[in-house]
Amino acid sequence: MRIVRQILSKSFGKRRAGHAARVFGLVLFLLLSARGLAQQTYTLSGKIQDKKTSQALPDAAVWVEPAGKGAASDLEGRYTLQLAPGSYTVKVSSLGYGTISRTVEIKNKNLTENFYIEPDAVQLEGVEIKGSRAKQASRNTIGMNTFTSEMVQRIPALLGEADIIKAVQMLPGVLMASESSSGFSVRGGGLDQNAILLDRTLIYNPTHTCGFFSVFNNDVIGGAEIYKGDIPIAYGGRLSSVVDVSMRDGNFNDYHLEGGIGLLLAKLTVDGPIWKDHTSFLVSGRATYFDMFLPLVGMKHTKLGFYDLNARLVHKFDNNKDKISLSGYMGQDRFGFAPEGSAEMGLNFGNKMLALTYTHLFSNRLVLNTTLNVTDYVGDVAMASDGYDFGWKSRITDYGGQVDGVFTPKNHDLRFGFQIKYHEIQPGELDLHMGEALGFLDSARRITFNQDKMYSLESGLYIGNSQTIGKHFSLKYGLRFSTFSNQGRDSVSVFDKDYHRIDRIYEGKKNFYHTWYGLEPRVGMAWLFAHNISLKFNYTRTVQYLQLATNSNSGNPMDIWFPANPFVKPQTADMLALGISAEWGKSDEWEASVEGYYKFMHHVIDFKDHSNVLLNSDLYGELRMGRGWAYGVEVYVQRKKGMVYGSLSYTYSRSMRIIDQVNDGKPYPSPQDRPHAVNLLLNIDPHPRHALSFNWVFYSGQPTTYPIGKAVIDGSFIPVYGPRNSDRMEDYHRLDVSYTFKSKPNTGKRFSWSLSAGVYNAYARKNPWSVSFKQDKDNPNIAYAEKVYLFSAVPFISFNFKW
Amino acid sequence: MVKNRLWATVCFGILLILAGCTERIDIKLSSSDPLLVVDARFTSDTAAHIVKLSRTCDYFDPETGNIGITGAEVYITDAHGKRIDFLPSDSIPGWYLSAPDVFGIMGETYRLHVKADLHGNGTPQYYQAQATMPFMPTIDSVKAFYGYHLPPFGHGTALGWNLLLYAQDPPTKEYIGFSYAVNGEVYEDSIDNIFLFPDSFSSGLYLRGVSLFFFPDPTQDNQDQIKVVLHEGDILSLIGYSFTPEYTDYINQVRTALSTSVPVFSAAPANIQGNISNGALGYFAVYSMGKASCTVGKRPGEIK
Repeated sequence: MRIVRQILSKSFGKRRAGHAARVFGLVLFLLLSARGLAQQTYTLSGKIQDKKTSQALPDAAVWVEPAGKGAASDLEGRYTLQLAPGSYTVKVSSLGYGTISRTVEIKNKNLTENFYIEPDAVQLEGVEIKGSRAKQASRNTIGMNTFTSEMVQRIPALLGEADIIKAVQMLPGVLMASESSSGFSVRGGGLDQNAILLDRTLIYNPTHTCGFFSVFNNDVIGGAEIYKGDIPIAYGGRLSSVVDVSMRDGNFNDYHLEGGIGLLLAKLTVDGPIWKDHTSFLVSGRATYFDMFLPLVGMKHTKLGFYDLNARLVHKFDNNKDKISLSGYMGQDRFGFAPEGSAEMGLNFGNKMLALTYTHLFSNRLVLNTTLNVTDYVGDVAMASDGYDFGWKSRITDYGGQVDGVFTPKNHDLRFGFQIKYHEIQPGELDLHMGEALGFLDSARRITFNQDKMYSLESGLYIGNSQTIGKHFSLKYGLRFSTFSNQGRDSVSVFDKDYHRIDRIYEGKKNFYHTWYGLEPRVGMAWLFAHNISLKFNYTRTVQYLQLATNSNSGNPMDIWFPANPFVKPQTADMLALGISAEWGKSDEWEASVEGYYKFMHHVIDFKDHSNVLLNSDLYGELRMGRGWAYGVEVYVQRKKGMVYGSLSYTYSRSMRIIDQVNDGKPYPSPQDRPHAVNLLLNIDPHPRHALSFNWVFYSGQPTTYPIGKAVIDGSFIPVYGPRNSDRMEDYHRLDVSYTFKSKPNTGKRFSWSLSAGVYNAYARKNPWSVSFKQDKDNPNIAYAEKVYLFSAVPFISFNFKW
Repeated sequence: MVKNRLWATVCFGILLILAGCTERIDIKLSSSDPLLVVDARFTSDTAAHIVKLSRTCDYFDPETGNIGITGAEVYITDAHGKRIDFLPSDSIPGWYLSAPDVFGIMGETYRLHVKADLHGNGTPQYYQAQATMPFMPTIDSVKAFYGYHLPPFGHGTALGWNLLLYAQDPPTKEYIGFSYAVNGEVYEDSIDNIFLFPDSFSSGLYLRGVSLFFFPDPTQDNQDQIKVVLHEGDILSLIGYSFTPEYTDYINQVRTALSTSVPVFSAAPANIQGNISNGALGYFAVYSMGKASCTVGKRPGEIK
């Protein structure tokens, strides 16, 4: 108990440790007393699968009448419900699939019912966006959304390449970092506060080509869930959000080919059985051919583009209780420039990941997933010429393992598990070789500058329960205990209060020299009223131990991650959220929700003015720490079916920071402070072969700092700035339009195709990407402001097929 | 820093190639109370040194001719109490000049004193700054060499004159800047275009003819782009400056402030931090100088 108290004190501070202890006690009490609250019920469980492919369907909705109970299937398609004896109608539906109903009889024993549902013919053609949020009435999660690849495909995208991250950026409470960027901020959080996972494995830089594309190939995505704050207990390590993307299984019965070609990119996916009904594979690749067009714009001898590969292998055992899968991803971006007679320069960066997952069903009530994974991100710059070459590289590699269990006794959904990750970070390695051939040196010379590698071990242990109490109330509560240990060999700088280095301590190899602990309680409750109106509330604490070292407003491929250590405290966030949602109309086709939140962020990091974060062996001395807070209200209306359907959301939010020695220690708006945001997605399907989509986005202008005066030195105008982020650029708004023409549906033919064309930024709004202040070259006494805008109207066309 | 800029340039280029454009826009900017701006440079060169005093003004104010601060008292003292007075220029308001036979000594610490009535209300404010003059490594010689722009600072395919430096780079870290003069007229010596030599890569080595500046041959290259044309017999001089690390940092801050903002890569804008007290902007730069000259010879006839 003393250890628990120490941990509580470290995590919450002594003052709040007592309160935290009481919360901890309450959680334990609820867990231990759970059985006592239950009535005499039996388990209805089973699996939901695609009728054609036998693929398990995660996140399918199961609804039981007249009990008024519901559940969502897990990643393996399994569901479990507790019901009193009686006769029930079970309705099962999933995004992209039709709804089926079946009557079941619960007698005095548990019952297993498997459901095979057929893809919705209309949906398969990418027409219907069903609100995955519809299932939320049966959940008690706030700020959670689900996507399928079909939904993503339907959203007009830059250059026609459907992208899950771009779809995430359209959600209320999510803001795109800058035009075309794949970076985003969730509910006022920083860009590095989002965990972006592919098959439970973290992807450190989920972007290609400066953010134009994300690393996620929409053709291999089985589904994606985003949690904007009410982060489930199984996730940790990031403050603001989780985007959990899973690859789909290959088809267990037939071979399929899927592909597409657009203006700048081509892709191909093959999947099918290796051993029918037992083992399937999926391989997919994308590659750009920008390079071919560069000479047309005067860029000869230039390489530019990316490729990526996804692969997944799944084996289901005969006992129907075991499943093993192996997922892999590798992607590489390249930029090269090699004019004749000049130095050859190259930039390469890319992610790799590999995840091995074994799932075992102990019983209908107990499932265990075990995952081993590795993720690796490398960025390097190289330059070579006669006589000298130069190379810089940074790298981060994680080796991880996790066990996640689900236990579903009567009226409960108990989640528990353990995760461990070993981080190996090389913040910067410079290698410069100058040969005698260069001429001006009297000897060959090799210079290397290696910043110390940083090693750390992060772990998380969690347990949480979601329980229904009566027909209308559900409660969830859980606790996550995380640790983060720094390991030598390392040199740790010691700074005084003015951030001057006063000492450097050398830690021995393999020695774990410092550990942070974190307790992350998460509590939520939901009331389901009549007429499908539900009220939800939750409190979430999250802890983040790795930070991104960037002093810019957005990430770039050379960003460096660095760990918490004795000098840098881990960031923590406490978020309170309250939401009300309602569904109405035929088959609940309409849905509306209002969600409000208030988020406190502690030990938030920024960089001092004019900081240097690259190849800086005293990087920690550049940091400045403080706190932040964000609050907002999100209003969302959606129509899920019909000839005209879509969604409209409005968000009012603020995000502020107060950081030591930044902005004179006064509060200032964070770069993510954009008070008003509107997202409109409108789909019109006048005919099964024709589809129109409109996407309109509005954000308040990006906070920025404009000069309030100038000093004239050597004839140059040196700007004098006022308070940080006290100005705003112009408001951002944009309309994207797409039209899709498809092959005839329901012809029974295996081959289907679609041709999409559209315009990104249809009314050619010149949204400012940056604003600079300059002197007129012809009249140096005159200063002017100049904005850079990236896109006017950008047309796109793409052809996709399935066989 | 180099990598970041390199990457910024690459990505910025990609983005602009794909679609980007620029456009002048009207923005209403806020105003602020004027601040004193000090641009003071004191060197080892024997010359009339200059201290320029001005006030800040609104960013879009085109009237920059009347921002000089007149009527100020300006002087420098050394560690021994010796005082060097700077007197107002007769021709340029806000400029204060020392006597023409004044020079600084390497290793000495100097303190600048300014008493200026910024607001014209009869109450002058006192400002001061202090800096120590660093040592300047010896420039053994320079040479004008005709050929391609040589690495590591150039890769051009055009022909022209390289200005080569021969000198021992001391094993210690120096902060060296270079400019050049043609027949006594100095070029590229302003704060935004002086050449800062990255000595990390050659510390302790003898520089056997490293090309610091390149002058394209107008018969070989696009003449519109050429700033300085060399002719046979021209006296080409290399001028070296040994700065303090703080002043080098200041120069880099100024350059960042003058560069185009790129949101993916640029840090949040921040005021430049000088070394003048009492909230004034600017810098009291104290640095030593070295110089070597050569004569531009004939263009080798065989190179075409």
